Amino acid sequence: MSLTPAVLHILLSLAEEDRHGLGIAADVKAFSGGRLALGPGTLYGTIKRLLESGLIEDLGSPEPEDDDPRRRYYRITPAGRRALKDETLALTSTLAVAKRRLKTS
Amino acid sequence: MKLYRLLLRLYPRPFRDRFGAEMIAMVEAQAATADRSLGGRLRFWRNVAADFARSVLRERGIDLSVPSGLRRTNPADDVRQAWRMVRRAPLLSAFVIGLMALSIGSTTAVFSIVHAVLLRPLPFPKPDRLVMVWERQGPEDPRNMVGAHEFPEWERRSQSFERMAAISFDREYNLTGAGEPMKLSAPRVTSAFFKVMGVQPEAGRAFTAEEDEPGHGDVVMLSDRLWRSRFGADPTIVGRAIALNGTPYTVVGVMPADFDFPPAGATPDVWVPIAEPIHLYRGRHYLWVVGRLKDGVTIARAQAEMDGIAASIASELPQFSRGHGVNIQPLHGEIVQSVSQALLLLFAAVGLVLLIGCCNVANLLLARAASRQQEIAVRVALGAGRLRVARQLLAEGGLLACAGGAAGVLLAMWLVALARAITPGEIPRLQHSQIDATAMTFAAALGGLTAMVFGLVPLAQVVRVQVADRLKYGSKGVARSGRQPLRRTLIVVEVMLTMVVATTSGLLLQSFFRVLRVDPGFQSGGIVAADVTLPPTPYDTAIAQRAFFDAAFARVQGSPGVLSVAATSMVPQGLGRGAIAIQIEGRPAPRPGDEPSAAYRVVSDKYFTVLRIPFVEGRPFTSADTRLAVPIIRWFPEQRRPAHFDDPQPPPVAVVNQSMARRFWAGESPIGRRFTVLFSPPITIVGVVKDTRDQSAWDDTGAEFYLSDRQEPQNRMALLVRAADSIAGVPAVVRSAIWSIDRDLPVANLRPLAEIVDANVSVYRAVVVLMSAFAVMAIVLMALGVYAAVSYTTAQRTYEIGVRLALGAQRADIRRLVLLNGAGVAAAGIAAGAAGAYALARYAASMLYEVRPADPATYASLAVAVLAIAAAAAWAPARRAQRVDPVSVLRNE
Repeated sequence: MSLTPAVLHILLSLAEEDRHGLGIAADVKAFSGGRLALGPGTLYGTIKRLLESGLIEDLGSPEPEDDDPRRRYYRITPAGRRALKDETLALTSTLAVAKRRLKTS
Repeated sequence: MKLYRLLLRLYPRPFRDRFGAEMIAMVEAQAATADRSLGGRLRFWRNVAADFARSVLRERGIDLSVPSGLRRTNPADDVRQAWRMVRRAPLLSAFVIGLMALSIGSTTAVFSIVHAVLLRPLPFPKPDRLVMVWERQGPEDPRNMVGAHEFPEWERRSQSFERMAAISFDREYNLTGAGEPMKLSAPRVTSAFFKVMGVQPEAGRAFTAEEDEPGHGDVVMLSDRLWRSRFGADPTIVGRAIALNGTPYTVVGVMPADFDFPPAGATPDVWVPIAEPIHLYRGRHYLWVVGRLKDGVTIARAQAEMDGIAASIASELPQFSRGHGVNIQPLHGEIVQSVSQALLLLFAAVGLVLLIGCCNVANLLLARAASRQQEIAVRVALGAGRLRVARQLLAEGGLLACAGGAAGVLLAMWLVALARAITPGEIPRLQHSQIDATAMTFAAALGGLTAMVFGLVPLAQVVRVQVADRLKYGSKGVARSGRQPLRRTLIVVEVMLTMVVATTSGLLLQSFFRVLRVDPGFQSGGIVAADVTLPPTPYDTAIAQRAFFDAAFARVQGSPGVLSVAATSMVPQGLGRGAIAIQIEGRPAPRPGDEPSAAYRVVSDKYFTVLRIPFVEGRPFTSADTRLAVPIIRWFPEQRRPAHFDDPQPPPVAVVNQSMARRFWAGESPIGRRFTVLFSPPITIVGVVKDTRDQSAWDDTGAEFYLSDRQEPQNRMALLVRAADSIAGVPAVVRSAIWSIDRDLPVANLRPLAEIVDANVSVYRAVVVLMSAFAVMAIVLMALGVYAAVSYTTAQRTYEIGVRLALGAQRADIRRLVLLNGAGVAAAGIAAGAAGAYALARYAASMLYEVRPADPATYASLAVAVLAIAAAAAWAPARRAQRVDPVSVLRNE
């Protein structure tokens, strides 16, 4: 099953380090070159589904003194890394086919 | 930010609890770093809104995601698909379209009439500045005609008005010299009239101030209609003379085709200047006053100013103006006041019928959507996006609504044409009603609204279809109660609305029959009425007028087919109403302005015979009452007494009705008693007749007296001719009898008296007929709705019923179960409907005659009727339920 763009990008973002929601959104926006802006509804809706399917986990709130207590941090799980790897492989082969057929080097 | 917190509430609670705080924090943080410019902020919030819309649907489990391959679908495909579905159920579709056409059509028709009559501004510049200014004589008589001494003072002293103008309908003009003599509708106006109305003539000029002066009034303005019908639209008419009452009047102008003075009722044919010393006719109340308020002056301010003016006039001329106030009313309101209540009532009723129709259609489509859940589940399972399915359902609803709306507009056009044809002239401005752009917009809005409802109701169901469940259990699920509350609610609402419409029309119908049953106290059958108006030349004296009518009575009486003939100054139950101040001899003089008044008519000897009005005591007028000195009433003290006033001759006499006898001579006989009218000599009462309702069918005339045309000759009388047997030949006979005396006299308004009496109730009858039609529509729709709903529910419960029967339930129990189900729903609707009906009936209370808005018998009988009809509609499905075969039902499972 292929991952939706939101799922893929959130997993990619968390693959680098644990982040809170706003951090994920900022990171995704940065590495997608601004093409994917995750709004709060989409972001947390996707986070909810990722939590449910065990691809990421909730680390809870940070120590009050060093951050906004409303923020919670999320971490990618081993299952999440596996799903990401599978998806990346699938994308790579798709990309190869696309490159060949579109002759865009 | 507050808004975003509010929006958050739309997410499901668990989601909100878990992520709400984080989401707010994120939006806050993003907002803080976002572009501060206006465009930047707008973009930011637009993105937040879009994100919200997408995700809230998703979290709510409403999945509109479209498989990307199907994303680019052609809307035409949706319509084609919808057309296929519509054709697959032709009966249902035709039924839905018919229902919609009926409800949208009748609602649009009533709307276009309401729009033309009540909502459209009058066709004058700044119509909201135009007011009628009446004289108020106490609370009972707020719209009295304005006294001749008052109007010039109002005009001179008031500051609130740009202009005021007086109009008088007191004279009749006959057009002669061009074909058959024609009686004209010819209001007399002061020259300011056209400036007040703000309308320029299409040819020539309006009257000048000089033409208000006595002796300069021999000019006339034509209506476009008369100019075309009698003068062939002759462009050289201005400056030429036409003969009115045998006198030449110079045409100075022609008014444009759409110019009318609606309060006048009949559209005027010509306008002539009043051109008389109005202020001298003190105490004579014969003027209508129309004014144009200055910009920025409210009616309340003008009213306050005029109250002061009226008070000072009353103190200066107490004998003429004591107790007289001023009543300023917007012109538009004056024109429509007689019909606005009836029209709004009809509009309310037809709106309710429309709602019933919508409930019905929603119910039908709901039933169909339910039976199509499986089909939809299959489509979704096969990869059709829910959005695609939803779009298709909306397209279906839209297609049905378009067809229904189009058919409705056609129906509305026909209904409006019908309404215009059957009520000519009874309803002001009705002739302007048409299905124009506004009415079309209204119909389109109705259609669009219903289409949304039609589409969305099944849609709400589709988005929740649990594909797997639906495919697993098929259509034979046990308790599919999910949609039952909505369906039940729709039926309760239908029954309720039906009860409202049916009860209100029941009350109206009852009071209408009561009005019809009222004994008017005179017999109108077998009588033909005709108006004859004598021009000033050669009929310049009361004696000459009396001589003409004496000759006319003799000629008509001697004509074949005529049993008897009489005449009256006002046709019974015609439009005229006249009351006049009287003073009873031997009673202390009332304070000026407090004089009692009574209705009066001038009649010929045979009036009481022809109309079969019985005498209680005394005698009718006879030729022995013929006076030398006529007339007997003088209107103001300066008026000269007629010649021979002091010669020996019969005394002035009167016949009074029983109400007048009771009011002024309670417990004694009024015969031989005397009273005076304005500045008349004492008038002796010689007879007492029973009361008649000669003003309208539902109002008591109250005190009324009759004077003899031998003593108070009139230049304008209505002949009343009783036919020997058939009235068919009478009009021709009357015409030739009159014309054998004077070839130039128009014989106008020749029609059966019964028709005049009937015209009194024609608007009322139209309202009652329409209300009854709406009630029948409501009842039929309600019955169909109940039938469909109970059938559907019963079909759905077949399995449950089968189980019950298998477990030993009696068949009668099953029927009772189904019927009770229907009865409970109906009872709830009836109770709510009775309350609604009371509210509507209270609004229409003034249209009820001798029936109270809370008349218990009407409510009870209609409640029973509605319940019975609902039960009857539920009966057939109940029998079907009773015949369920448990074995086959259970085996099929």
